[in-house]
Amino acid sequence: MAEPIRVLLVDDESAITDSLGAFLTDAGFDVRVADDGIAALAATASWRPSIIVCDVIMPRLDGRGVVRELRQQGDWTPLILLTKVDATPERSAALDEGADDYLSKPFDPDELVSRIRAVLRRATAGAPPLSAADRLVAGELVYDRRARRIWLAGKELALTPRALLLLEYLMGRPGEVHSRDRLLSTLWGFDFPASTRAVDHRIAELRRVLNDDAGRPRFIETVQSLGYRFVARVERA
Amino acid sequence: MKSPVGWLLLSAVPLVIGTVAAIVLRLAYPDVLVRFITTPAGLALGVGAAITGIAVIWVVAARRSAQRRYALLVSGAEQARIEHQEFLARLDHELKNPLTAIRAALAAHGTEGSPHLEIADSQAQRLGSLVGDLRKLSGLQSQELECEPVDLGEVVGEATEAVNTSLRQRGSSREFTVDFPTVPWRVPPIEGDSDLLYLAVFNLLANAAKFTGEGDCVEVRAGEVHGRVWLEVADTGIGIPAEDLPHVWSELARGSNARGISGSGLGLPLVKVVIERHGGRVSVRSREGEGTAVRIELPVKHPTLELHGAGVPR
Repeated sequence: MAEPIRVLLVDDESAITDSLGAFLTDAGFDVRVADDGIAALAATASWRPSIIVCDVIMPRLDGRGVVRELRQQGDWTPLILLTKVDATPERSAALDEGADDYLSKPFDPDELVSRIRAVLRRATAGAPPLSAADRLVAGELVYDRRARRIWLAGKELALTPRALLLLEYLMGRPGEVHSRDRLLSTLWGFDFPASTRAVDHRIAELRRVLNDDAGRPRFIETVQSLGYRFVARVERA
Repeated sequence: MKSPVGWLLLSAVPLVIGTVAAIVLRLAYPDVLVRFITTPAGLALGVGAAITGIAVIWVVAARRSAQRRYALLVSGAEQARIEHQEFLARLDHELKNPLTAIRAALAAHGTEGSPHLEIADSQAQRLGSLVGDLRKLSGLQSQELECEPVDLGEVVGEATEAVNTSLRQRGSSREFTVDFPTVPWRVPPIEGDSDLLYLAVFNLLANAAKFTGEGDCVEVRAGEVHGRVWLEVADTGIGIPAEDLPHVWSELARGSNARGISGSGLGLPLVKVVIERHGGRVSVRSREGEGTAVRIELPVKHPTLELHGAGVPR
């Protein structure tokens, strides 16, 4: 790697920025710290980080405010929110507002490093990610993110809310393998072990409604012992 | 409230007698003009009307105050529940940041080679998952339910399969037996969130597996009574000591005979939250050293008799 990845770490607690900053530096990142949302916006403008890792509850401007402000300015610097609240509406709101991923405290620091790398792999410099597009198209499948409606070959389909959220998440991140645990904690809000059955059920519903053959998938592929992947090519429309 | 109603009936007696007497007199002596307006009759009518009026006011007032007392009781319980929720949220909030910092600091320093730091790291992880579990539990209280008709038999079948698999993986030869009525008709579907109900049922079964040994048996049975479906998981395991029984549904409560068995003390509270959010209730019977039976009851939308022959719609 020619240039190290620049990480802007935003949190108002120095105990966190000191320790996490040191850890990320050891992991090979070029790290800078901002201690609230306003400072984060200023640092983003002047330093152009590769990615922002941002706490949610902060003085002056909170994490959600940072995401909103950046996206309104057309700045699509990848951003991981360290959300405090774990309720489902909060989470989908975070994903809606244009955060690329989220991680709830306390987390395994190694997990943060792998999330940073995953988000950067997905991101295309300067452009909004697919997950923020209003309308996604994958072959005959059209998904309207604003209206939360889908069509297959021109015919509108009915899905349960969770299946729809799952489809939105997978379509917005095509080609990536998502583990059941990860999907569960991101989309369901309860990541109790043993509840991954919930994910399998919704995948089964999606396959039934999308008329997708698990053996020869057009849309959703089961990656043995790892999870699920959206295999079709997705474009914004 | 019985007594004012009694007074009301009592006060109606002279009115009824008077009316009946008037009708009888009118029929017996059609050409005699029955006069109601005599002094004693007027007096009796006045007294009767007054007593009736007082009794009506009494009944209404008693009803009102009972309603108020009930509302007060409900709002008190609701208030306590909200405060408990807020406490969990604050606890979560206050523990999260220090734990994040501790884990990051240990990771930055590196724990390899130092048994002390490894202990610090593993205990920080343990605290982290405890905080996470408490948060998930309080999240369940407000989690939006995604309701659909749920076949409890199917849910139990899948949960049993999952528990049996994990038992086999741990080298146990035990199997759960399930007695779910299918004859003459199946247990009717309930309206609920199948993901959460599965979680509750799985927890019940996993608990039974956890607190039983090789020679023990576990029975899962179900039935329908008075528009409610019940499900009972009964085992011949270690049981719950009588003094611990009242606390089994509270967070972090663990039986005094359960030390040495890993667990968070959040399994049954989770079951309770899920079942109560579905309008159901939970109960437990247990004797230490003999076994435990945990029972859940859920309201049915369409009792079997309306559905028989149609099977279970999905």
